[in-house]
Amino acid sequence: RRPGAATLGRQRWRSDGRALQKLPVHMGLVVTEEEPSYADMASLVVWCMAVGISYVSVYDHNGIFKRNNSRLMDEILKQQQELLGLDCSKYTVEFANQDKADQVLNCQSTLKVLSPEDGKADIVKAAQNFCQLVAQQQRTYTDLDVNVLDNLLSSTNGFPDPDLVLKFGPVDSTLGFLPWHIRLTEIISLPSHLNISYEDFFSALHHYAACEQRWGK
Amino acid sequence: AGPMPKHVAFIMDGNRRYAQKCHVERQQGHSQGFDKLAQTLRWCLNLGIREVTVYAFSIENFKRSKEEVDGLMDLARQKFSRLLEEQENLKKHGVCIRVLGDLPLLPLDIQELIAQAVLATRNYNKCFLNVCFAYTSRHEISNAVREMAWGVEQGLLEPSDVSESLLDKCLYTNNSPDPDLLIRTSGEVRLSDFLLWQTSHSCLVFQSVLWPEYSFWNLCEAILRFQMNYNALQKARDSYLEERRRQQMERDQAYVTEKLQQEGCASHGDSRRQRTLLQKCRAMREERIQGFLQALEHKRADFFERLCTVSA
Repeated sequence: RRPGAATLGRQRWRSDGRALQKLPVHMGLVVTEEEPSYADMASLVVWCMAVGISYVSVYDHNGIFKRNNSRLMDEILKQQQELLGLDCSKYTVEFANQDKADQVLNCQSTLKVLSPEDGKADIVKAAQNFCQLVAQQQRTYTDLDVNVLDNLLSSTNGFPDPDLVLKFGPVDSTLGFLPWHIRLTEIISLPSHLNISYEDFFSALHHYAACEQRWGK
Repeated sequence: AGPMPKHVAFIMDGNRRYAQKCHVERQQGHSQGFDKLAQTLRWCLNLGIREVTVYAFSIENFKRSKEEVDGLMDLARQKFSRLLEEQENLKKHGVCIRVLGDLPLLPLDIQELIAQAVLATRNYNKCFLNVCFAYTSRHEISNAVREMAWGVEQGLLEPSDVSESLLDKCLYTNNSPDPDLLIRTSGEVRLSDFLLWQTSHSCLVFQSVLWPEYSFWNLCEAILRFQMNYNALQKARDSYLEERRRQQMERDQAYVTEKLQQEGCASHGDSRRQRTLLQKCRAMREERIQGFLQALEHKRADFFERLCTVSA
């Protein structure tokens, strides 16, 4: 189920990624199950990084991953070593605690662990900040349009909008995951993240690669 | 049987693919799509679903060929005119029609037709049809924030009055509860900038059938999924609202504590003084908000009324 580093080199993962017609630039991993599994989420994150997905976000509506961020990071480091044979002395793996963004930097991938406060609450915060500027007469209300508001949001600083969300669990809802940012996101549902296999993960990526987007045209 | 959704939203996707499949003109596909909408509304009413919101035309759809956009605008002209002819029926069934979107983007004559339909039915309340036209969710959310900023500029609101629930009340959908169920047809699995804020905890059902081929059974399938998700979604919604209430309470307490500290150490420890000040702040905020919402309501009614006097 989980190929070990002994049998597969990192080359195989990268070529898997390249074999797809398109890869998401930002992948959202959304868990709707009540009890999240750190080991399985860590596998998913590491697989994302291995196939070459640049931005990964992890979300559960109870904010469990966010509250237990360090436990998740430990699992990820462990799996990076197991699956990719990464030697930590060779790569700079940084745990950056900047504001609310928790990022693990690894060669080419960045990770954020998100919760509901990064959704509507972040939009409200941006709105409050803008209104504060209006109160101080530094802005007028007509200054605010879609782009201005987009730039005021901070929960996904530096990340593009998610192209793909893999949603795990029986609940048919995004449960508050980044409502603003998912306007064009493909949402692929999988029954569970528990004991998820690389094959299931990859087949979802394959499904995504095949979908056509018309952009309203 | 389980609970029925009170409000269902539809992304009616697949008209063009249907037209291609049947070797007819795109315009035909859209026309069939409209007929299917009328039929689906009847099914919903028969099932006791009293509110329906549909995504009829996105701001992004203006990017389509002039021919197609003109065709869609003509369809809109036709259908809104028909609607106005059916006023007796609308009155009989108590159908309230709302059109949500950035309406000034539309041709003026369509804006006028829309205004007439909206004003003619605004007091009906047996069932509600919300048509999103010249709409995207991001525009809607930005508009809501702009309205609150306008409120601050007018001196009606304090920046600290801005909250999730106030933003809710500034959306085009402020008179409706959040959709219980969002259905998208034609197999696409994305939201395409539709009701992003309002559907954060809705049951999302993606069905592969093309919209003009939508059947009563398809609708029942979607409702079944809603029922299967009901408990989990209720629970998630409740805990979200609870957390939101808790955070607002924290913010209010912090504000009050700071205010009392500014007045001098003697009173800030006094819990009764805290409670009184908290109540007072809340009451004042509530008053500001009511005043602002009334002004907003006025502005919106004014917009429609002015359009009607133009055509009179």
